Amino acid sequence: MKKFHSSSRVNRRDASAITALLFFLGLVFLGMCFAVGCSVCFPVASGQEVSERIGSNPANPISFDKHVRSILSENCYFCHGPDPNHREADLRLDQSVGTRSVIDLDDPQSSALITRILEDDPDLQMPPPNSGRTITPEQRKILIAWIQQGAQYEPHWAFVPPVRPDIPTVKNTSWPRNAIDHFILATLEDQAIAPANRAQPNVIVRRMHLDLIGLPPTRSEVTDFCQRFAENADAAIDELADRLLNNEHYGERMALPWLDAARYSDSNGFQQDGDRHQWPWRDWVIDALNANMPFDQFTIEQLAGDLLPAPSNQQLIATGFNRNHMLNGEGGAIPEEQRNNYVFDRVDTTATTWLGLTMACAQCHDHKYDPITQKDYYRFFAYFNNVDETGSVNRRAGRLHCAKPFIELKTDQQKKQLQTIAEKTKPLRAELAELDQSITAAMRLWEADAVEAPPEDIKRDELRILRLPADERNKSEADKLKNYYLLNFAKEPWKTIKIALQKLEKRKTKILAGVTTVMVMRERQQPRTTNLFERGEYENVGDEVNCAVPGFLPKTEMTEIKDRLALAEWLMAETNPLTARVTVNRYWQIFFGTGLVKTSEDFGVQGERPSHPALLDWLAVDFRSHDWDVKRVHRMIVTSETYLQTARFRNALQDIDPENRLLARGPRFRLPSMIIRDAALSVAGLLNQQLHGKPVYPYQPDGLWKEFSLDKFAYVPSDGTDLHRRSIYTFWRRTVPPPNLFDSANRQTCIVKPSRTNTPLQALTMLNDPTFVEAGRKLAENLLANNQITTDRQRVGESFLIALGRKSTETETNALLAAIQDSRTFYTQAIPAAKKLIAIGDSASNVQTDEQTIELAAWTSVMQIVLNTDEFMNRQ
Amino acid sequence: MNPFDQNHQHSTRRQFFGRSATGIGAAALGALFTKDIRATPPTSESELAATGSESRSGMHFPATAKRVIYLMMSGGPSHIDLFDYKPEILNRRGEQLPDSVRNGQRLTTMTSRQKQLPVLPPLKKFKSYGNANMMLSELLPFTGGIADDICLVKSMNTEAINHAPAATFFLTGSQIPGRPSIGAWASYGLGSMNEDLPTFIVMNSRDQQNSCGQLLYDYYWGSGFIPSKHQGVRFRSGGDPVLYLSNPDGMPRALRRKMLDHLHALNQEKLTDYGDPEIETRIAQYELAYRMQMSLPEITDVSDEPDHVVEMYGPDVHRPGSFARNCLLSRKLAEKDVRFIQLMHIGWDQHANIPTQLAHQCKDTDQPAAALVKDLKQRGLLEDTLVIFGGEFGRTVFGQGNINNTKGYGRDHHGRAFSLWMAGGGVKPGFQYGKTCDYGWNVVENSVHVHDWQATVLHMMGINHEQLTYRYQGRRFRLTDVHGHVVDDLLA
Repeated sequence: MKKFHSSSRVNRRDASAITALLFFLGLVFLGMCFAVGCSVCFPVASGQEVSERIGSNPANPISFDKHVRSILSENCYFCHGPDPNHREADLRLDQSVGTRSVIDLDDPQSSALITRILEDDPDLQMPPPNSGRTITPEQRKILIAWIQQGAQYEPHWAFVPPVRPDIPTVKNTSWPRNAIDHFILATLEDQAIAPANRAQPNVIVRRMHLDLIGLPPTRSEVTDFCQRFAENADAAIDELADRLLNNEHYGERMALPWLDAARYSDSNGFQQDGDRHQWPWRDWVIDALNANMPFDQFTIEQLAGDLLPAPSNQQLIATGFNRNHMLNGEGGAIPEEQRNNYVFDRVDTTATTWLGLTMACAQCHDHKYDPITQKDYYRFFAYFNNVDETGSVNRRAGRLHCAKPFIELKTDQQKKQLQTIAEKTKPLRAELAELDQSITAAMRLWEADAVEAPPEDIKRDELRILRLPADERNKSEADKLKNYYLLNFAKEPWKTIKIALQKLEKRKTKILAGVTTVMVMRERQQPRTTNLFERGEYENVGDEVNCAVPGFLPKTEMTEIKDRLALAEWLMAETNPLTARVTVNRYWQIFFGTGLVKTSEDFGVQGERPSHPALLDWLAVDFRSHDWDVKRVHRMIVTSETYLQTARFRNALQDIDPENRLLARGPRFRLPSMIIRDAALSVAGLLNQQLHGKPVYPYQPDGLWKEFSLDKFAYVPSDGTDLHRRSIYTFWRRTVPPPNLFDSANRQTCIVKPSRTNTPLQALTMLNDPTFVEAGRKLAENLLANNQITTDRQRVGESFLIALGRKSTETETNALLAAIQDSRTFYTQAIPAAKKLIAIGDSASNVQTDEQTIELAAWTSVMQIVLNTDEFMNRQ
Repeated sequence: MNPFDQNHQHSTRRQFFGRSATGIGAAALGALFTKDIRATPPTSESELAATGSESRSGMHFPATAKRVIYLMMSGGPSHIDLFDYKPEILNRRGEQLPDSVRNGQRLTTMTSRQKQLPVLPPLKKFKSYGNANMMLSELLPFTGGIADDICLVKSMNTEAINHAPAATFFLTGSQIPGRPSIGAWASYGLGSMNEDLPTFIVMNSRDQQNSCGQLLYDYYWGSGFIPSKHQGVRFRSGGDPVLYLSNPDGMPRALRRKMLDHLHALNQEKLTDYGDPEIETRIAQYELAYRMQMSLPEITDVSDEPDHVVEMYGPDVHRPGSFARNCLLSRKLAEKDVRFIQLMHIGWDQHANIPTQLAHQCKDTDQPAAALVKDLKQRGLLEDTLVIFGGEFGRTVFGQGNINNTKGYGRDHHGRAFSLWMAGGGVKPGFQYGKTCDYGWNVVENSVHVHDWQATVLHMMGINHEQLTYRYQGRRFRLTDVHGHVVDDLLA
């Protein structure tokens, strides 16, 4: 059934239909008694939709889950919610009992819930006028209609397993390219909105390149695609998708959000922030994504690869996922406290990444919104609490380096070197061992003299041992003194042999210090017991608990087994309502900027409802039922007509759908800064496309690390083409992240939603960071070296084709022609300045004459403009 | 709903307002007035005045502190030696700290295995200062000079016992990194009061001896899960005050101006074609960046300051990057209406050799901090600028190491009780608050927990700490977590 784990596990995967049924009934019950938490404002579009289509017509069915819960939670729970410290009038509206007490089913208008909202007297009005919360007239209508219709409760949508919905029929049958389009178009047609036109082919090819491999298309890739598109547009699109999905850079692009979720870093964080070697895990992710490893295997190997039968080294490396957390070796830190912090981190990261749940809330108390109890939290915690770790950090070469358990990955060369050393060491040791009696005898004679007149340079400890009677020395003391004697006072050839041995030892230590160590998961022999911590404090130990999945989610046969592998398998079980939805939603977010569920980190009752619930469920079921084939989902998305639409804003829709949640146009958003940098290096012809390996150290302002590191770490920039590797390989230091990769996830805790801000500091980075200045210069050099183009106008046109994949408009051409005139005029008068500008960056430039210098500087400044356009930083 | 969620970037101001009816909170409205997010620079003086006054008035009620200067003393200054006068222990040198006082509380692993916990009385004499008769160590003569301006809280307490968690707790409300820092919250809630400078600025310095330095992490001024535009902008002591501020060598400002104009033409063309308001914002941000290239070097240049003012801050002021210089710069920034200024000074972690190190440390900080308060006062800025001086915790009353070896002993971390002072911005001047036990170990009266202090600082900025929230992972997060009470007694 599955190729990657033993058949003994297989039968556990059969989910019982009865379990599922029981679970569903349980959910309905839960829905009844939780009446549930919380908030979430409607997205604007759906809020208006609600008021127009439902609020104004009480005959329409009102759904508690869709329409009512969010109104109550947003406006009422602050004082009438689960928090007992804040509750007024002993009334809880987060539970059905409390809500029923203020509802009159026979006379909805007289329900206290309604009358208090309609109340004019500010002392009685709810919510109180000074709370800053208001229930709109539309929302009141919804509440009244809900009571009129019987005030039925419903479970939270995300906790009910998805069932494959029918693909909706649409009027415009010629538009859809695949199932996604049916769902999107059906919603648009409901609102009488036509989708946007397909984007131009040059836009499509750039968009798909940036989205799938994180690099812009080359000039010829644009030309080839446009040509093929003209012949057969549909075939061209499908071929492009297939080509990119099989490109080796696909894995690097898709690894970026996964690294953010996994809080991957090359350093430990906290005091000293020493280096660690988790990069083989990063390479494992890239390879797994490139190989289209099924998502269930991808999950199981990362969460529990160590528990698979006879795990391979690769499967062990995969488990680095849950060892990527920070490590605190601060002086005075209490190891047990730190160890518990690491387990907390694993719980939060795992729950957010696979379940879209904010488990962390339940660390100290029952969750305020979702039906996660504190006990659930510590039962989940128990799965991760048996790692063979201490909470301390091991040092290597004087630096806090990594914490056990870890595996050592010796290179062939290192293995060979170590073997050579072992071979050389063995006979020397044997020789000394054979001579041991004579050595000891000679040493005793030496000792007698030395005690009387100790050698001048003897160290304190050796002197202490020397003064001990021989039979009172322990073994390590005796060895220490013997080593000292042999190295300094023994006769030949003893001394020479010992010195040779010592040299070999030193070499061995040095080689071992260079061995890559990857922290992995490994269980303790003697299982740890897990207890609930009162208020989340590790010293405040409560009841003992055992591994279990959250009680409100369906159990399977697998959850009878109390280990991480069972947990991983449970996550992928057919009855799990969350994993598939959460995962396809994050994929959607990569391509559309926003997930179908905007709160991609939270699918609980406080999360936002999906913009297209049926589409989300369809994708989730489809993903799971096609063996968790990741590339299949990505291909479906990028070949959908929805994705291919132009991103031009539509004035008519600005008020109806300002956030483009209906997707009546293509999305336009700023690229992650890592990809902006890669794109700049790429269009400049500077990018070193090598995959994998140790992190690299590209340009960074001087002294940045020094200020933070008590002088223990110096940033030594890489040489040559290592300066121009893809950003994913840039050394990530948690306390001093790479300063030019703005808006990146902090890699301290799990982050699954990208940040996209727009600040003046980013403008300064794009304008002044040597990375981008050098990229501008190389772009200029390539233009000037191209014999096919000789005029300014041609060069401007060419630069647009290279950097943006399109022809420039007349306005744009004129702006850049004016720019080159301005710049040329300036540098003609300022050759020293021109020389300085083109000297930025390590790559050489081949200019000889002053004229060439002026031209290159002038074009460099103009290419900086191109690289600073909003369009260059965006995918549209 | 959070006002700055990525997709909202596509909304116009008008849409923002339109949406307020559907439940956008006060936070969103407050933040709307931040100048640096506007799509276009203000079109008229009146618009500037209107938004400016809106943000100045506080968020939920009028602010007494329009600006905050937080002198964060990293490492944990010894309250026993400096602020919390305990005549009761003067004659108890070497006696064991009674178990009844320690009461089983945990110690750090640096002293948890120490067999003796000998009481170590204050290293120097205390003196009475000001009309307030404030008892302070004679290590702090300049602070003594402003005793009638400061509000000394002697009952601070925290759960944390190690530096990074304790500092993170003070600055973000949580011991685990990842939440927005207090300055980021202020920026988010109140926005900017000036056109050319960041809202939240950070400057760091360390003790000259570099003897017991802690590291400073960027999450001490980070924005956590709120948009990164609210994170503190750290000024550096050497080179550019802000990373990438200078134009590249060979690109003079005049040429840059022309190039930016051409860049704007290109972006304008794109805006016309695509209609994405985010492009408009980008154009505005490039303009602000250009202005900052002028305003930041100006603000970090102190050559125009009169000698008598510079001298107030002490001799160290002439060394860029020193605490004294940073104090002077923070006064200049306050004058320019920078909302939140955070100075972090390393070197208070005196586990060993406290007699020497503490004296050095006081010398580095006492005069400049007092000068800052005086300087603000003489310019009329103190009344609406809050100055805060304090560390992430205090130090133990017992000695660490051999207390008979002057060079060998110090004090360990202590969070159960410690001191902090504030001045200006609406705190009671010449006032002392809270009481600890005879050993300065436990708070016995008027406890001020870190969350209470945070609530109080926000209150002075016109913010209700329970209402400044940001929705993340389904929860409305706030600086004070689910705790904190405003300490009304501290307010003037």
